Amino acid sequence: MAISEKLSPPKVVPDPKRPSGPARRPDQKRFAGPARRRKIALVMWQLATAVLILLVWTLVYASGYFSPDLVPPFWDVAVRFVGLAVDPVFWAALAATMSSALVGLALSIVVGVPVGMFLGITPAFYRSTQFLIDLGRSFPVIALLPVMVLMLGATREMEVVVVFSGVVWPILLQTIYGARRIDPVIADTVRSYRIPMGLKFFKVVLPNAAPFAVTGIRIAASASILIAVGVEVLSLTPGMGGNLARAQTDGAPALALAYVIYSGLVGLVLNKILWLAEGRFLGWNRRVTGGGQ
Amino acid sequence: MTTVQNLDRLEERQARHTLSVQSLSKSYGEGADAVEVLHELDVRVEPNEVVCIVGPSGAGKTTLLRCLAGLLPPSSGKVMLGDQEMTEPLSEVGVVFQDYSRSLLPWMRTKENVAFPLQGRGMGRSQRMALAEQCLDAVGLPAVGRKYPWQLSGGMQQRAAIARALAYQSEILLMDEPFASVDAQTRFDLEDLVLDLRKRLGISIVVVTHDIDEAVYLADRVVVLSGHPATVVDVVDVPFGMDRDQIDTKADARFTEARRRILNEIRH
Repeated sequence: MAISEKLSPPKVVPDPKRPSGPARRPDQKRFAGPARRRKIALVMWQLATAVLILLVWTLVYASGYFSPDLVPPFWDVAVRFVGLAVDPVFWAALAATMSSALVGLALSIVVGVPVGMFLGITPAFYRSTQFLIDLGRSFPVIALLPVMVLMLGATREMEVVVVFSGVVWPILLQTIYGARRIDPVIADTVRSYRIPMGLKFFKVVLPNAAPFAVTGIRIAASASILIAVGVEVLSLTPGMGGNLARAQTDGAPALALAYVIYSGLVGLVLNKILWLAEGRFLGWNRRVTGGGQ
Repeated sequence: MTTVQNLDRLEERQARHTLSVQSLSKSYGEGADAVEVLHELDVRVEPNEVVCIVGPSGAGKTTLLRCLAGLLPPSSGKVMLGDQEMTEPLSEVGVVFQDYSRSLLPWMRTKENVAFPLQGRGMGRSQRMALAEQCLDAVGLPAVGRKYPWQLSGGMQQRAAIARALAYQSEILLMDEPFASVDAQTRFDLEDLVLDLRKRLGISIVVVTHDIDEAVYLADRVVVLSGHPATVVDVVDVPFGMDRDQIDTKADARFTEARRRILNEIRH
């Protein structure tokens, strides 16, 4: 009996009248109005920027400084842009480029995250490989292209290899950084509570590194599309880049530009999807670092 | 059933060992650049005692606490738990850090945080969750187990950190400036929680603080550190026993006297 008495809740209970925690304040609703107005203002500014860019484009076109074969008017591009959306050739090219980019990205994740975790938790290996990593990440991957084309030909495999060797670095570096950067207070906590190695790895080091690794993956995702298109432009491998380059040499600049815009959109959408996924699975991180607490 | 079992265990953990440091010195750096922070300290924490360590900032209070926790090896002298020398963190000693917002893991719910050290001991999930629940209850947080630490106020986070130390079933709790960054009212509540836990669970508690009022209010003995390197300049016995009150105790003439004595020692 005396035992259960020992653990009955103490008299000190948090005062319900005092705000405890980030409970929503009742006056928060009042700010909904200005918030929406700010949002509308933001959209207006974005529209204004777009109009301004189109205006400058049209002025450049109208000045006649560049031949219309180089700078087509934006309405031509718009027509091509819409036309591509219903063109099966475009969709095949998009699928080809996306699959190369995503396979390269997936390989980078499969290699970069485990290797990064390993290097992050073994300082000796990290120090001895650091110069290699520094070299690798500053290496211009496109310079590899001629060698790769010679070795593998202008093929899908070659494209995947080049994408991989371009985007594995941000993932690797971010993961290493995340695995190494454990808050000293957390390190002390783990030590003083005698958390065993394996548990520490899975419950502390890994979740700690996750947001960093995911940031690396997001950077890598945009870069993977960029590199895939770049490789296709230079080596005329089938895909968006290949079609783009061919449109340019065939004197269809509006079509080429439409492809360029689609390439950009693909990168943007991919980034957005990853951003949403990150918020879904690593929401705690944004809440912790996002301030507001 | 499991509940009763856990409570039995918790009672078993009631402080039995004396935590002490014997002529402990600590220096940082090496050779001619070495700076001695603590010099020949002798401090004892008897079972079920609350000992507060006060001193001006930079006096090496946190260094001493880290030595007591087994996180920092002393340069000379010994840290003893009973007759055993401590060379690493031991499960008899739980630590509550000053920076609660960083010591709770943000990717775990509060209850999982409290139960986490038990997982390291190989306790089954349902059992450790039940114990975590109990310990959250014991610190006055019955309903927040499902929330993440960053959804709690500062005072609640520090309660959760205390619950984690309790769940670990330590018999000695080390607290480093535990209430330095919460508001005054929360601070009083948490001070009373500390006294309450000592009384109900029979654990020993060491609190490092720079607040002399807090030290005298909580402690059976106040250890005063001062100087460079820091030495124990005084040990003040506080005669208020287990039951204390924020108003009456602090108005007591003996409280004022102890306070004056410590303040004079720290000023010099």
